[in-house]
Amino acid sequence: MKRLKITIPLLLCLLSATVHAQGILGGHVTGNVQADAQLCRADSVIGAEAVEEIMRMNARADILYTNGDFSAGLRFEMYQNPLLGFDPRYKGQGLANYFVAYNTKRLSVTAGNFYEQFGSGMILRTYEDRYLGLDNSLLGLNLTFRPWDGVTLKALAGKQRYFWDYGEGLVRGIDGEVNFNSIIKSMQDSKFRATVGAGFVSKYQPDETITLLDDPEYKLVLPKNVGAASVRADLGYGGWSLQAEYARKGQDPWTYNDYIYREGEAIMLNLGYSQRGFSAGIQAKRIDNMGFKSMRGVSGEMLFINYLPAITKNHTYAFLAMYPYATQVNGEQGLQGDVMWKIKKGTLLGGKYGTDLHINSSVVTGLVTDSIGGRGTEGYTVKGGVGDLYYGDVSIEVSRKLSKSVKAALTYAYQVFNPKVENEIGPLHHNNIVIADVSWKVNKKHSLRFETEWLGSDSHYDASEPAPDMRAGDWLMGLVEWNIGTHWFVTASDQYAYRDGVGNYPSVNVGYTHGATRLQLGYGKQRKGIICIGGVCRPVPASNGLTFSLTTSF
Amino acid sequence: MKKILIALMGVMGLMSLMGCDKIEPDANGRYAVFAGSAATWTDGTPIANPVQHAYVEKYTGPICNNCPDADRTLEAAHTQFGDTLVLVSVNSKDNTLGAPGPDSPDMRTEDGAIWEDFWNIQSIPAAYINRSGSVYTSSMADISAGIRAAINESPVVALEGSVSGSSEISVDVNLQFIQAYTNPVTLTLVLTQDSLRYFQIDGTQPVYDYVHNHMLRDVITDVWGADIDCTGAVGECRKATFRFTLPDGMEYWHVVALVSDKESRRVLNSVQCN
Repeated sequence: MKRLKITIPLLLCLLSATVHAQGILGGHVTGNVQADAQLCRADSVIGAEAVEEIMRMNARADILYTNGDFSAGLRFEMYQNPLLGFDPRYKGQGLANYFVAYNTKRLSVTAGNFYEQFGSGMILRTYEDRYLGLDNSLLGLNLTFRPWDGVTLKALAGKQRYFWDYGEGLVRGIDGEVNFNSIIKSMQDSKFRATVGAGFVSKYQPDETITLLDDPEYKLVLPKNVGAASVRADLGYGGWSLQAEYARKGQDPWTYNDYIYREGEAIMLNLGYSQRGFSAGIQAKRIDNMGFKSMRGVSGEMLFINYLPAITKNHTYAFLAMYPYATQVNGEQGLQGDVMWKIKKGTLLGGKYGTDLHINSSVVTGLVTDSIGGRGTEGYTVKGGVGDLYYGDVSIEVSRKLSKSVKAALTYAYQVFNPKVENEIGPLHHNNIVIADVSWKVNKKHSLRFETEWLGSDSHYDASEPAPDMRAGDWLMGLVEWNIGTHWFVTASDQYAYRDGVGNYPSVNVGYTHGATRLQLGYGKQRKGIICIGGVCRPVPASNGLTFSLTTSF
Repeated sequence: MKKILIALMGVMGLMSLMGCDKIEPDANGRYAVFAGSAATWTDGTPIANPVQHAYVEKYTGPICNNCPDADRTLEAAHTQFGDTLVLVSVNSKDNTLGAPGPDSPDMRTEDGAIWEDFWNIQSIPAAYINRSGSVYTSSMADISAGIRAAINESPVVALEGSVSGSSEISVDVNLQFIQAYTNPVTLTLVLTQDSLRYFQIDGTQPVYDYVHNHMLRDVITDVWGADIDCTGAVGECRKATFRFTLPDGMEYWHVVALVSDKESRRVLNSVQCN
């Protein structure tokens, strides 16, 4: 991508002009701006390093112009320099995304950067997540045709964003989906709901020389075109629902699977039931060599064509999220069960105001495989059975209103974590976690929230390891959040490793919200670790310093 | 507009559906080929008596009734010119004339098909000398003159080769530029086999144990050769060693080395290494 060098003042002028240009040419302009800055200082205890430039900043501005069926947008991004933990290849600034689109009831056309998903994403999902530093948008053409209500056909072609450039791999795809409740008149009011779909994605990448490790005079015969296909169904009857998708991928030797030629496959099943006050679901997933990138030699999270959804709960409490699970694209299988029950008020368990009960459990293991060679071979065969335990957890959350002004939630969780999922070696970690979360609405203007967390782990901090796990040991955490009116909030928290661990991570934040604008200033320490969203992760280095954040939309 | 877009969707869909390559493994279960360019070229040794060889690449087939005449002509030339004539017989990819006869192995090769396509061979038998000049067909009665002329040329490159090992073989190649040559040059190593007995139509007669010699079995390097790391200056000597695993139980095999112009693919010199 030709990076456009736009200076900050020019951008601000542009934004300023645009903000006041709503209604221009009969159209409508919307947008949002976000800036996150960080001042870093060294802290040898937690392993934080000072940065030369003292302050680092990630900033972006999205502008969208809409006029009837026509829309156009652009996104300016600036990483001067990228915040700690973000890939340094983002360093720079310029237009990272631009498109024009035409949307009618029957037809949608997008030229430029676009995001698209086929089914659950197991063969194609392009998306961006600013907190992961991930953007795999396609630059090209995306067509959607809806010849009848309930029938959707998609076709796309393009190249994926790769920091400030585009990968050389060309991605082509088609997808079709039929909703029978829409196309069959007699089913329109039926309790039975059915949608089926199928998609095919192919990537092209020119040949390159990749030699065998044990015999470098031999080079791999690489497939230049790699295809992946999936079929899916989404069925429902009354409160029941069943989503199923099966995907298969052709020979795709690439860096993550060490250039083996085994074909990939993945299956996902999701069975759910819900009624008023109660819902339950069970999810099963099996992945075998299903990572799919548009460039075979690129590691990291960029340039993934597909997305393999995580089967573990995306926890939000700090200690529950301390050991997040990263999807193992080379092979994993797992189950997740989830039950939510709203116990009626006035009952023994429900109390005066009712009680919410949420139980979730998941287990993920590896596949049982027999190696039949390394690079340049089929790689392995899969036997039935259950492989190494990668991750398991069970969490029980009970939340209840104790009075008109006090609400409390109590959570207990047990986790088993295998360092192997982070490419580390070591024994399984077994964690017990207890969390108490109490909110108190003091009066109309003030409210307080208290959060206390405890994590007991059998892991131990070992400074002699090449990369000691800063999360190891037993931890305590306290947090107080004070909301003043609708504009201000103040939080203070501390995480402390009181046994077998190291580190004390205090943090203070002050925020101000006005309309769609939010400012936040904080000071604190960040523990080295890993952040995962939906099974996709990035490392977070230790840091100590001031943080500033601004978000606004118009 | 809508029709154009729908047609575009169809084209994109077709492009996608066609986009999946299937790679077949070799006999060892490896999806790899010899990367000739991976061999390291180092300074070689001068060659005392440079000899210009004639390389004849002949396209043949078991159901080709005129091919045995060409074989006889070339065997006679081989007797006449000795080792200065280097022969390689390529079984045509043609589904009729090149197809295997009764109880016969299929001698067609992917590499041979690539060469055949490149030279646009329309009928067999057909032969080239040094991959340049006229194509010889039918009984090739006039090919001796061409071979003699090729042998009498002053060599641009002197070439010698040797083979050691039996199953895992090493091919040592040494060359010297006798004349300056500035175009990029490549080295192609070809595996051939003699004394193969299988079906052949000879004129109108089926011969079930016809003796096939110089048959192409594999190209050890990339199909058009490995780059030779050299400047092409007069007197420059370069050498390299290539390794290769022979198919199990292979007998009467030879390795032929060709030094070629990378662009025109004309063979500058050749040698049978064993």
